[in-house]
Amino acid sequence: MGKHDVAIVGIGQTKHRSKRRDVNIPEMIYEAVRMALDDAQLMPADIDAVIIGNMDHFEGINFSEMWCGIDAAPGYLKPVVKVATGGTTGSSLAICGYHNVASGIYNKVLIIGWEKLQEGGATTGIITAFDPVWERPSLAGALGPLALMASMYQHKYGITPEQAARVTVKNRRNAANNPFAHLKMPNLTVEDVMKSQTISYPLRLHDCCPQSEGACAVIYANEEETRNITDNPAWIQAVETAHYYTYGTDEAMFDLPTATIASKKAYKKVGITDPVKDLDVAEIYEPTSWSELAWTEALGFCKFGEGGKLLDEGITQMSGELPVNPSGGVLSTNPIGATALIRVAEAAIQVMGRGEKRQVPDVEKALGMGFGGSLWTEIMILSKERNL
Amino acid sequence: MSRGKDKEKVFQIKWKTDLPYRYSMGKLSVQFFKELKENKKLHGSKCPQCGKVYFPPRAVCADCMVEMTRLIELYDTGTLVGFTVVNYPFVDPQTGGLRPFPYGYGLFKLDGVDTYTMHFIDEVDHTKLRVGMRVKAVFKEVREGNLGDIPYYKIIREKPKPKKVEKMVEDIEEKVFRGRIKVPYKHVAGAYVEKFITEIGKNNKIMGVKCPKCGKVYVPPKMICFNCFEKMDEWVEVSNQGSVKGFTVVSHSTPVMPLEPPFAYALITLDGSNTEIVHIIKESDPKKLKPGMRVEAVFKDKPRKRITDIEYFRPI
Repeated sequence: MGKHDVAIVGIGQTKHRSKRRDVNIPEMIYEAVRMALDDAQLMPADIDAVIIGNMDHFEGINFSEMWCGIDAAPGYLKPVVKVATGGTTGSSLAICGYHNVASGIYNKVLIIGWEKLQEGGATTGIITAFDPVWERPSLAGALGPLALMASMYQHKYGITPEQAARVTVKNRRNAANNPFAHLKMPNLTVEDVMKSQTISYPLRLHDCCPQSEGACAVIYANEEETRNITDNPAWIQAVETAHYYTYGTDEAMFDLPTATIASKKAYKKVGITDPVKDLDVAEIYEPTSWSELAWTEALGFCKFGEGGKLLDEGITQMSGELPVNPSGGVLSTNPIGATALIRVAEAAIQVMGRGEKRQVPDVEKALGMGFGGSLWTEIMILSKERNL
Repeated sequence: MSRGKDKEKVFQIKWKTDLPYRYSMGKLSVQFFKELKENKKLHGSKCPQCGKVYFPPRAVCADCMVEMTRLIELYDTGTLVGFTVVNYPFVDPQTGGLRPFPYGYGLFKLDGVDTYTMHFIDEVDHTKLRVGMRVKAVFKEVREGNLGDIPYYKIIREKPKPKKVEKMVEDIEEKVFRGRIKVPYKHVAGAYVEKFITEIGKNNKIMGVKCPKCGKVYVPPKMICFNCFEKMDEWVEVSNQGSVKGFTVVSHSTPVMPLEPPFAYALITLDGSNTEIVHIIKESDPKKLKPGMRVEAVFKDKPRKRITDIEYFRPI
């Protein structure tokens, strides 16, 4: 690990919605930033550097760090850096912030992820991220490839659409306990999901994440600064990144090898041998209901092909041995540049014991996962104790 | 959330990006599309170290970090490993319009290839598709040397075939793929910008906001004083007259210019404001402009809720 221990000491996020027509981009980001500063009881001058991220083509603006890092965050006359890595933008921001503090370069860093998807469109924006000669003609944003994944996964392991539907039901019911979540559906049933329109076989509408508008801000501090700020931080114990081939479809994607590789390395660092027993909660990046089942396998929560069984046994439910996505996950809230940072922030909230109605009891260790790009995975493990 | 509430008047700026670009395809792709156009043949690239065959062809084997200079001729048949029918509307950034849907979309392995690839399939009924089905590329009669020459793959009933012989890439000319990115956007301007623009159009008044901490007045207004990081709520009217801080005279013409050159634009500090705005100067000989000169706003007769509702500034 780095020269310094690093903790999350302040968290802010907007109430995510499908449209935020009352505010422009920097005004929306400011809400999350203000909340994070107030949470850590820090002054703007206390922040050494700002790291901000979104995907340019989603809103049609370039160089947003220039004005959003200054007008929405305390970045004036300070280093402001932009990070954009697709779906993993938020976790890349989180990992980039970690390195900046762990290395001793800065003492306190503000991390911001945001997206305002109704200003443009995620599907259209995603297509522009791919190869113009080979991929743009047929690519249908993220959901088309995720549908291919689901069809392969279904074929190989016999996972049923009802099992996938139960993921949406679990996550959107969890979202009802999260005041920041976008889609809160406390009464959603498997039948509702099964009856929703098929938008890309086998994906039904309710199998898919929404497009949200929102921002998330997180403040990191080194061990010395953390002592002065809070007696209830979330310590970062492991960060891991694994990237993949050039084209999104170079490999069959449902078993997400990057998640297996990144999580194994992270578990080793923290001394985790059985993630279901050793972790207390996981916030994972599930763009579709099918992907949560597949990702729980790739992360080693169960054997390959047993994601459906893991869910059916109730292990990933709020009352289970390893609750997955108490916040409602990506199926409930998806402002893309913020989405993976929300996973980290929600994992930190669980470690701090501040989840209120969505709190899992006695969380010592939590996992946050980012997914995106060309099947990339990023992992962060947080803990209550500084020394494990 | 009620739809009616969403439809309440919100000041939005709409525009459509239309960016032409030239993308250098790389020599293996150039050779691929030449063979596709002239001979209706598909090729992949083969790693000289591990022997892995890639489709689409590319210059480097990611596993070995070794350059690939060999193309291998491929069969135009393969096996379906995943499929979907895309049945949702979205803007295709290649055209700026909706991409026609539904369309069949498959992931398959061409025979003898080690990677997967995706493309259109000519079937929109998912119940007629199964993993393991055989597919074959369909070629256009008149080909242009791009991926559109294979409009789709069709389902067939042939068995898989063995690998073909490999061959070296010939020397080829440089070639670019010419494309466009066309995307529509709606940008929510926010309450501060809306009030600013509305006051200009309705009352010919220029409004700023004042920082409660440092007292700085911002024109155009914004929510946060970046110096103090304070939220600003106090509106103040500033003068429609001010001083030129700096200027330039535009003398060359490009399609994105708002006016025919020569014309001048300047950084202007309005009396009562502490910031500068950029705007056009007219009714003046560009040669006579100098820093410090006094100017005043000329308002548009028929405002259109744009910053150009201040049509230009003129010397006084």
